[in-house]
Amino acid sequence: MDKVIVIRYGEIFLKGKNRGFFEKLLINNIEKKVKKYDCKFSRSRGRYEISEYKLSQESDIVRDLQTVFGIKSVSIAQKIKSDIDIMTDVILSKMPKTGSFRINTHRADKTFPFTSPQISAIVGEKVLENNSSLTVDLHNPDIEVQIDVREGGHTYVFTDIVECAGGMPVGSAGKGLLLLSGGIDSPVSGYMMAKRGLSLDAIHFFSYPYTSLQAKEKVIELAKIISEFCGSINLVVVPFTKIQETIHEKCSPDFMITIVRRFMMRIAERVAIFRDCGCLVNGESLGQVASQTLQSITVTNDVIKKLPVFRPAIGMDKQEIIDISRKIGTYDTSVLPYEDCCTVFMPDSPVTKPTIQRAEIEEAKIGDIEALIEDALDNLEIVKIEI
Amino acid sequence: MIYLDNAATTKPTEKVIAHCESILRDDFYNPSALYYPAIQVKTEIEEARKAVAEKLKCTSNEIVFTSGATEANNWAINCGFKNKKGNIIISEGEHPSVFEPAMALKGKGADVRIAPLCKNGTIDCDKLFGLIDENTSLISIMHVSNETGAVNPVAEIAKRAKQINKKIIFHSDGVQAFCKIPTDIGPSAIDLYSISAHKIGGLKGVGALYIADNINIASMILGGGQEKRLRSGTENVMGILTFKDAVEDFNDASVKPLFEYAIDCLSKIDKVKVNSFMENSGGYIISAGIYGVKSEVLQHLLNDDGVLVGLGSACSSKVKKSRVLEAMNVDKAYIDGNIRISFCPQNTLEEVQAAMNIIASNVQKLRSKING
Repeated sequence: MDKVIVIRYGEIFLKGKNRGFFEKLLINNIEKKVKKYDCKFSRSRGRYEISEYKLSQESDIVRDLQTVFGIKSVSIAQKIKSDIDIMTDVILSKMPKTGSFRINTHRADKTFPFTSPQISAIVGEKVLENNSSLTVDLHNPDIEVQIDVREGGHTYVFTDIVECAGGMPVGSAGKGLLLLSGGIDSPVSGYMMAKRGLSLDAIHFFSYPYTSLQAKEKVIELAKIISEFCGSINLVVVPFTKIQETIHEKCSPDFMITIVRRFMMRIAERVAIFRDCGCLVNGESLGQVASQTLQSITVTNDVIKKLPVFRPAIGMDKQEIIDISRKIGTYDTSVLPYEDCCTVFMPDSPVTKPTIQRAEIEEAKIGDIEALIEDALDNLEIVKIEI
Repeated sequence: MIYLDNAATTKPTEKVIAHCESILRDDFYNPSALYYPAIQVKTEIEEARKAVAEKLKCTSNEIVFTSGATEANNWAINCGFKNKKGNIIISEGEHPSVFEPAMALKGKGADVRIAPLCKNGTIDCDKLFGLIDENTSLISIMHVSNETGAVNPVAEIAKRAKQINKKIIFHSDGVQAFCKIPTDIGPSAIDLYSISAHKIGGLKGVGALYIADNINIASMILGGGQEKRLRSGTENVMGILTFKDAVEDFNDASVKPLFEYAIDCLSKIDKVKVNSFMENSGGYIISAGIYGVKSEVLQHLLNDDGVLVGLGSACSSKVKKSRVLEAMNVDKAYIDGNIRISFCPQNTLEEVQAAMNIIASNVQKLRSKING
């Protein structure tokens, strides 16, 4: 009788001919995650299993599996031979002395001589024979025991199902470039897109001396936290000071943020294409600040020519975003009080309803936009965040 | 690098650095042990206590070593406010290690009264005395402001406060004063006085609380009964023994010309407001508000040009502005651009001259970029 961690996957199950592709990625991601442990990972039809691990590491392994997208749930189970008497013994060992219980059986092995309801009934009866202080309660039991009869003559018996992150295996949807500012919203957006299978690179605009080295360290720390979910990240740090100084010098103050964001989007799209990213991801949430009104988003989006921009937080309230950031562990870092580039040269009243035409007029004052962008692209710094 | 942030910490002196290695190699014994080498370490600790006591003109048994001034200040506030009865008075200008413990007591229902500052950064004595009544049990007023360098005449304040109510326990945070201005604490009416080693060329992690002979305060850290049962925990031998070196080596004669020169240079820059004044300053700290720049940005530029200065206030929009400068009624536009320049005896006039040129040119550069 072995103690094992049973892993169940979710949405992949619905895939048809492509299922092999998704499974392979998921297996790969799980193996990467658990390779630091001394354990064995194996797969059978519809279930994966981790065995031969140290009991002291059990909760760490489960916690790490909860960060792997594509896994629906896990259970710590006893793996036994498919035999009614052994099932009964194991269940008795898990039972409290008194109280009510219910047995649920799932039988994948159709050659096993009893049906699922029959197995539940037979084992339940044997449990009651052995301990008359227990009762059966099908509706509201104190303890619910699961019997999972698998093909190949083995069965899993367990009581708890630990819900995991769900979603699709990271990498199955390709790669995206996340605009990572250092605030609360962008790491959450990266997490949400990774959940749908995107692997990520990230881009950060760095405005030293107007922002501090700590602000950059903070962004690196955020990237490290989300890399727990989305795997290794290349963080592209763009020197942005000269561009911001030029915009500040040449353009109308109320258009400062609008023009800054258009430059960010232009640079991000070029970096994304160069790095084989198929989309941009940002943390915009409609109406949250002046630069995230429908008109502002329209004007900044206007410079994007080839790639889709995903904004998974667009319809979320700030509190909903904060809740996710706390769940994934980015919140405490995001609220560290270092300025990011968005607050440099912040005007008193930024425009909330800019137009593309006016933005173009403002940009015409700058002159050679292309030279500024090329200069920034020539001086990129890449920070590799490996897991 | 020209280091002008000595109010934050000082570079350990060469004597201190050299002594550290020999202490680690030869004086590692637990001073509480009874074999000879440990007893010798204990003797050296007592010599260090004597050196510190001499500076404060008090007796050795009035000095208790702590992990630094933050611990000493917390201890004074928490245990000096006996039985949590009566009221406490502190000033607007206090360091957070006094201000926050006082606010924590307030949160638990204590009557905490806050005396305002004058425009020159010193405490408004008349208002302070007006706050004292028969129930005042503790007063804590810092000796030299860590933000502006303003000196409060704490011995005189303590004397007058006790004329109003003789039961008062008077504490002063002397971190920026110790060794830098006269600190004749022993003969004064001050009961508790906090000091720190790393502001005078010693190590971080060691400080002391002066507790006047006639004062009983409860210990805050209990355990093995070290420091006459007042502050348990194995002594920080390296910190304490080198505290003696730092105290003995400290020569405060050399910074006054630097201070005067720097104030003169800063005052000549357009729209710079110096919040430190020759007539009431300890002579080590200059607070200067620079209109129209963010101090953090200026600090970065100066860093790149090899000059390290402190910030008078955190410049981030997410952090509260300087409580002390606000209490002095300094204009907000000057608080945002406030830097703190602080000296040590090792600084030279050439360094300060170079630094002042670099500051002036970077202020001009930054203003031209911001204002277009």
